[in-house]
Amino acid sequence: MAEMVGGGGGKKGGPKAKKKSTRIDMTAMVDVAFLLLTFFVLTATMSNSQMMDLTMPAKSENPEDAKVDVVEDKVMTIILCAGDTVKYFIGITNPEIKITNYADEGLRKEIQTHLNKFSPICGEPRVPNCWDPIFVVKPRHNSRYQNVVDVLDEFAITGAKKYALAKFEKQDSMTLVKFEKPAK
Amino acid sequence: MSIKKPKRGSPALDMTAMVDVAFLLLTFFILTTTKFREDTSLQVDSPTSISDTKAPEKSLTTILISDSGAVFIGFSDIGTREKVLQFAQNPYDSDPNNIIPARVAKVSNEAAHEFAAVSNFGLSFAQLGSWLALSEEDKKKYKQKGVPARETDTVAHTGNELRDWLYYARWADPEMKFTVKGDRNAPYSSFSDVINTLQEMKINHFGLITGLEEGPKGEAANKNKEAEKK
Repeated sequence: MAEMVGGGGGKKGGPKAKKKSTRIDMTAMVDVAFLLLTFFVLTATMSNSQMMDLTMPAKSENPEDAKVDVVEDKVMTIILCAGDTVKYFIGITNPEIKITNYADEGLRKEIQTHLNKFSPICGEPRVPNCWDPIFVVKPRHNSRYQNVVDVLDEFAITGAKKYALAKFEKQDSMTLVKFEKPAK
Repeated sequence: MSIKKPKRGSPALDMTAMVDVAFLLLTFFILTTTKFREDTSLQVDSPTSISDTKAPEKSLTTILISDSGAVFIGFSDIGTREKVLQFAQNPYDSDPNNIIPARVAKVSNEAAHEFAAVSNFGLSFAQLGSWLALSEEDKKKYKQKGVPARETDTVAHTGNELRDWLYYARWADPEMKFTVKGDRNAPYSSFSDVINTLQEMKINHFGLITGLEEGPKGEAANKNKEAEKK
């Protein structure tokens, strides 16, 4: 505004001011921008990893303390074997050992069936003191870590509340030998 | 004689839009980057689960299990790493009643700083001192065989050194949380060693680091969600 006053209406009639190009050379800026961009893309660790909570029972000096009375029929023992196979049986005396896998229609279905067997008794909403079925997972030493996570995941999916990770003992391999039907 | 030279196109092109996008992306990455990727001596391909609990970023000890079953350990905070090494070198400084003897030979301040930059390692106490003395290149070449995690390690002839590290970690940071990050193919025997050690240290609640997987949309999943709401 001040200029206009000083110029005395210089815009009119006077020689037109040469219009400068509004273009700027952005090459250098683009170079820097992409360099920084590349740096951040390569160094960024994307979102934090997920985790699954696992609570183990406290180790007790006296094994008698850890004993729990359970109804045999409610216990489903899941044995994780080599080659991504699972052997499972319900009960302890004279169990019928079956083999399945980790596919959606495999172990998950079996867990769901076992859970459903008891839901009519305990009902919805659940009757207090009515015990949920118990799952005991016994991984053999030649199973892999993924198998354990898969099984825990199946429990989360089906909503099984009571499960335990136990050691595969000699007794268990005896059970397998004794009750497994010979392959045809 | 009027040979017209073909008009040369201007080499300048309109970069405005490109610059806009570049800066937009740049801003996004600058703002979302909270932590830079650290050098790691171990690549772990963790299995996936439907769990979407986020792992904490601070006060975290991660026990890694490689596909061959070697156990590695890493601490999230640089301060903790420094303290842990100090304890390993001279536990008596921190507590006169400490019964665990010094396990790592004294290292120079420089080596201690280098240790604080390591995100995880899989070395026995005996190996650690000499490994820290190596040059940067040799360190990368060194084949780390894992922290002994069994009561009697038949290969390294040591006790359960993982237990000692966990002990130091808890000492260095009372808020310490523990997670296990295993490879898909890690043998169960190694995982069982780690669990036993954690239980022995009375760490009965810990996390398993997993990748994210979409849960099934079936009936079972919905039922479960409803139950959780109740």
